[in-house]
Amino acid sequence: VSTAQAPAPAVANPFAQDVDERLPPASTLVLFGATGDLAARKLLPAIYDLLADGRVPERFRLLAVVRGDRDDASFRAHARDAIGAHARHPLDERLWDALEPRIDVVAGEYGSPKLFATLAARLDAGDEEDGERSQRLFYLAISPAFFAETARQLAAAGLGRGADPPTRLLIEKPFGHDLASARELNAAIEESFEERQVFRIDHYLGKETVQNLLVLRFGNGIFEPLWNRTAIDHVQITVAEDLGIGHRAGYYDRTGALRDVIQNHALQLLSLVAMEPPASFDADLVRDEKAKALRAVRPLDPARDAVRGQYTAGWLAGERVPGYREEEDVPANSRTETYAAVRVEIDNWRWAGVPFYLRTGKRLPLRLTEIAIAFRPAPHQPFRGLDAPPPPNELVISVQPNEGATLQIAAKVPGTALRMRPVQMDFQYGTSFLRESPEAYERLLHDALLGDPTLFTRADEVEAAWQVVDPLLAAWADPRSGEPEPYAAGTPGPAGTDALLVADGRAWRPL
Amino acid sequence: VSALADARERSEWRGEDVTAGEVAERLLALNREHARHAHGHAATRTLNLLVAPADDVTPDALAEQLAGLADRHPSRTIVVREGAAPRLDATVAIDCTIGSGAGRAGHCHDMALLVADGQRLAHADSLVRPLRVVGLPTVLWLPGTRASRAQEPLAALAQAIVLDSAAGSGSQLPALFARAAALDVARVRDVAWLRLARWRRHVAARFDDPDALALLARMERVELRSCSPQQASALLLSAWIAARAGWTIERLAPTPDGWNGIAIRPDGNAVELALGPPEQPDLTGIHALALHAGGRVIALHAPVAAANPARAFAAALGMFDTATPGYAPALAELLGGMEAA
Repeated sequence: VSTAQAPAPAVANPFAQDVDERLPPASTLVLFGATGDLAARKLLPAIYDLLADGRVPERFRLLAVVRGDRDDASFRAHARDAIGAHARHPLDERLWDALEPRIDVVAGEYGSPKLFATLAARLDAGDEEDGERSQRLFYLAISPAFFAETARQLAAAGLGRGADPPTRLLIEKPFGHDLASARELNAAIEESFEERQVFRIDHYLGKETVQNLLVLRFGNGIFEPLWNRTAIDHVQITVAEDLGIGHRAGYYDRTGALRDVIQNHALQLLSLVAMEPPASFDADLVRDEKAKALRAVRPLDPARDAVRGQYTAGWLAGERVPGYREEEDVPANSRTETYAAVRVEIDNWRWAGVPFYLRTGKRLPLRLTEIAIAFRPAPHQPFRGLDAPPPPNELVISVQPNEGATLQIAAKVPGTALRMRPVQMDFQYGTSFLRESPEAYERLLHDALLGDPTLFTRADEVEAAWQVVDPLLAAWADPRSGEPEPYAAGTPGPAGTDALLVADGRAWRPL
Repeated sequence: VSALADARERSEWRGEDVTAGEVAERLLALNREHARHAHGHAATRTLNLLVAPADDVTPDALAEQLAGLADRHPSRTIVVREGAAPRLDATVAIDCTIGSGAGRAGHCHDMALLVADGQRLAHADSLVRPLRVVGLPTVLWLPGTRASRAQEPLAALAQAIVLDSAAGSGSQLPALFARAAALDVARVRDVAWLRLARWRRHVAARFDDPDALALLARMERVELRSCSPQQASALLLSAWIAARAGWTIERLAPTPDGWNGIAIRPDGNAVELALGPPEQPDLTGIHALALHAGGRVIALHAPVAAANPARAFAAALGMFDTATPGYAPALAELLGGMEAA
């Protein structure tokens, strides 16, 4: 179809009303850090899986920005290997043949204006070749140290604020390393891109169960009336990892568990549990409510509300594993925490007096992410002669590895005596829906292509989350605060972590 | 209980000349027995799937389709077939897939096969009612090209009715479309229509372009190329385009290698509809759509990633509670054109 001076139609597209899912418009994804680990394990496979599911627009290009002298052929071979190794769908030659010629390489240094001029020219050339202007998405799978400068260079090349065709900037956490640096980064990016163009990725938000949390809360009538201080005793959010730090010592030792998980994943989960119902699922309304919940968090007292730990050598799954300070490239005197637990109070009408306990750690006994809502016990037990009152009801939303939700209730044990035992009403994605869930990155990339920012973190949310953890960062950075409490790898964390809950008459769920 | 080579287990009971009540008891007993011995096997049922196969569907072909389906969409499956003897015979089974790997739960689903005489089939709803899982949605699947005697009574129980207009070809197609139209179309999930999901997304995306949209009012010819088993889908696609463009299909008739027809635009001018075979014999599915207007052509080729046709039926079941806008107007245009021819 020629694009020459056709008059604008007066009618809407009549076919759009009947499609279950709109295809994104013509798009070019510019992937900075295209030879990195994230691209190989997640992003390239996600692009291929979207293609296999028919969710990529007909006119799609991938421009891989690389440092060094890789050419198209060698990067395409690398991409093919990554897809073969990590995509959900097996590599289909027909699909690969369609994708391969749409992948090109632009090589250069991220700080060099020449790279960005070349990039702009390549984008225009691609559009000219396709006879159609494509939206441009810049995914910065690179060190956060380059975020601000890359954004500035993109804007200087005419690809930022006000660009035509439209552009988006996708960045992945960490967004700063404390409140001040996050503000600085947000301000620097805002000079180059409007907030609506910036898509900050916390991949937890792309997970099916995390989205299901919203459906569970707001799509069911039975939970929301109980979702408050009247019925809920406390909430536990656990992000446990059995792995150590692998080869990421350089990053991890500067970061620690608080920055790596609590500031983002755990507080994002908290905000979804605690937020008020949005009037609609409009992206900004949802994010307004999440940000309000985070802003209502009471300032943390490092001495009273938090515990940190560092793993020592131990046994995990039958294998002896080294301690943190024995890991490759970790300083022998490192004070970096590999475990963090915090007690959070939310000062609003819904949650006053209901503590949220958040914990995360490396080298814990198992990999598990879950949100446990512990309800208050029945106010009166009319049953006489019970050895112990039944345990309170719990709703456990499991994010990984087994996505689902379990409601624990008390049931009568069969027999003539009146005995009660907790039983579980179980919903698992794996058995109720046998279809595979898309990977988090598939969902997020697709939403970014469609321009839907609901599952991306807004600047004010990021800053509100840093505001929560900043007092702990400051306190723990002070050498006078001592060292993280040691815990043996394969155990559920330092002994002191129990004290956080014991003081409130509660206990962690077992790991 | 037998362990099969592909890591499945099956528990089964068969009875001759039984009542529906007995079948329900056996089903319950098998489930209790299974629960007692289940080692990490979760019973998985998301719906009651009633199946009323036509007499042109062999038991083996049906069993094969159901076996594949359970991995994608677990159900309590109740198959109702016609038998010669004046009685009710039944087979009740629980099939389990063994969980492979640590921490992976296996899953099980159950099935009842009822073989009944014509008189009982005319009241098939009464056979099925005691066997359904109360509280789960009910979907009726009508495999084959002809209607079973159980179709009408079972349709009354179902929230959705799954059929495949592509089960036949050529001269069978008008009857298959008429069968769908005779049902409550809002409840029909036609697999031939659902196979078009990616094509419809594709067409809708192309007409987001204002220039393409402007050509719609001046369209003169629609050409579709497809292989023979996809003719039903190709017809539905052309009829959908006509319906949504505001055209009326005046005539649609088979040709030796496809279909030809005429649609009338709102301004009274004609649009030629031409459905032909693939340009190369090895091409499958619907592979090309060309819309001609005033010497210009909007050409669409098959989406690079074609949906797996083997999964179209499972997808249809998965969408039992999702409306299929566009299907009813497409079907009406199609039948109008076929009847006029």
